[in-house]
Amino acid sequence: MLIVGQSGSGKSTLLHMIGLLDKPSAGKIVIEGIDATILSDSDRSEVRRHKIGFIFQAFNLLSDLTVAENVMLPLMMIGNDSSASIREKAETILGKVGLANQVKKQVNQLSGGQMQRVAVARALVNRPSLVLGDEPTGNLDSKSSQDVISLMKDLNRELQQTFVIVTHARDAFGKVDRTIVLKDGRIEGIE
Amino acid sequence: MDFRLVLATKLLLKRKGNFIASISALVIGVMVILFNSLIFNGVADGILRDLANYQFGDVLVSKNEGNFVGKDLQLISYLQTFSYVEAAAPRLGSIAWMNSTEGSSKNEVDKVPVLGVDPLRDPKTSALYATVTQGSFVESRGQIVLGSSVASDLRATIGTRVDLKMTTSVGEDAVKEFIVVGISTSPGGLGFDNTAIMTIDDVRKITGRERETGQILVKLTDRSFQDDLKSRLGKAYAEENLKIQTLEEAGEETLAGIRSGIAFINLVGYFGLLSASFAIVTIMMLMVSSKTRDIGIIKSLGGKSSDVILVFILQGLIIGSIAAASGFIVGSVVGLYLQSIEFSFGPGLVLEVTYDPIFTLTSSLFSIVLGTAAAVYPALRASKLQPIDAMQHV
Repeated sequence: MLIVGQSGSGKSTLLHMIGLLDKPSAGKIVIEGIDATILSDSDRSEVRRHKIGFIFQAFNLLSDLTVAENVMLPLMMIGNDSSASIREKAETILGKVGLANQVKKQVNQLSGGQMQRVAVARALVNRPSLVLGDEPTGNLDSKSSQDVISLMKDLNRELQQTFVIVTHARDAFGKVDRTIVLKDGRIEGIE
Repeated sequence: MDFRLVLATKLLLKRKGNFIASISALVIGVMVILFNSLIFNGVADGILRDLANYQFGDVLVSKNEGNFVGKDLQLISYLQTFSYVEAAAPRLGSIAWMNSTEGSSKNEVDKVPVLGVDPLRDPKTSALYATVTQGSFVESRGQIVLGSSVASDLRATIGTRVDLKMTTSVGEDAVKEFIVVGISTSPGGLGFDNTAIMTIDDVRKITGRERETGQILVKLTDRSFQDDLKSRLGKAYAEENLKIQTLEEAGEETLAGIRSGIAFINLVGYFGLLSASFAIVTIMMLMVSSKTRDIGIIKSLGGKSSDVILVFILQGLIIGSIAAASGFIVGSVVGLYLQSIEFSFGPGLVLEVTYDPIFTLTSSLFSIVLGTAAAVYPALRASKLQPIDAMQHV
């Protein structure tokens, strides 16, 4: 699903509220039947940890960690798997995004496109029900943008996870299940 | 491994400058305390040792009022019945006016403390004889050992004849000529540089206190018998109104000043450690500031405020633990080294340095407490950051 609209229309704000990074001044955010607006900060963190993956425009990777460690972090936070299993899952998903041979590198040694692939891998590694992308191609050149979009669409098909993407470049995504058009903080249309 | 520990370690190690500065601040604080303790307790113990060796013995026996009259040898004989009494010796003090004539010039010194000793018993009881750096200790009547300052004032050397004037017990002046047989240089400024030593018989004779003894020094095979001797002697001579003091009691006045000095210097050390903890707070606040974006990212991935707090507390714990280990190792090496040598500042007092592993360990472990405590405020500040605001931080 895409969320589109002009700058200042409220796309990112809506995404942040869906991702429980921000609180609405009115209304409710319901995720899998849970009213997230009444949850404590700690419970909201739990929901984010288990059910939501984020892909940001600025990648937002931890520069002090390696590629593998960045991807392992969500699984380590959940803490259900052994260290070996966490590493294996991280390396598997990094293989899917084409970075199998970059796992030991520091993230600042990667190109922009590669960093966004790491961010995609990190967002998907714990199999969240919802993957949120805030202008995920906004900082990439056109070729890298196409690569990342193709990757997200492939993984969306393969893993059957819901992707909600805020973008200015709706055409680059081609055919999607649903597109919400925002204008001045209101839904102008659903296509 | 727990993700909070991974994050704490990684975030810390990537800021090596801050990391090393924090550890150094704590180690320096710990070292100030350990070094102060080693040196100043070494000074106190050195003074205590010298007080025992030169002035008071292990136990000092005197009378609450006046001097012993004619009972010193009986008391010494009784003391020597104790298996742990190594030796005992009488002393009698007085004040003298001295002058020496060198050619046409006359040199005078007023009010010199004079110590009368038993030339046979005193060397077995105290190390006073060892303060004689030129010539020899007094062996018979008519001989005198001058403290180095007194000798200098009198321009006296070995063989110089010195006239002494003392006041007798009935208030008259008595003058006697002595020959200088030794020059004494006392360690640690205990006062023998300004003193003269002669036989106790000479002091008794000149002052007219023929059978008097001022104090009896007792040397023990083991100082732990001090209290036993004090108790048994007190009972045996209950009617004599004896003043029996352990070394610590006799030297209390001297040591009180030293100990308050040690307490003050240690206080300075603890303030130093407190300053180190403020340095850590500042460094960690800088770390929070430089890692604001990362904190936002961690929270966006599902990190809770408690996780962020734990990451920073763990950093304080890591800093404190490394500082503790470093402080313990460095403190132990320095302590053992100073203990193994005869350490002194210049030619004065030789310090009695004793390495105390427990004190070294507890002082070092204190840095863990401080390092962790110093991390609390930065950790709380970091935990309050909102993920969106934090991630927008550049």
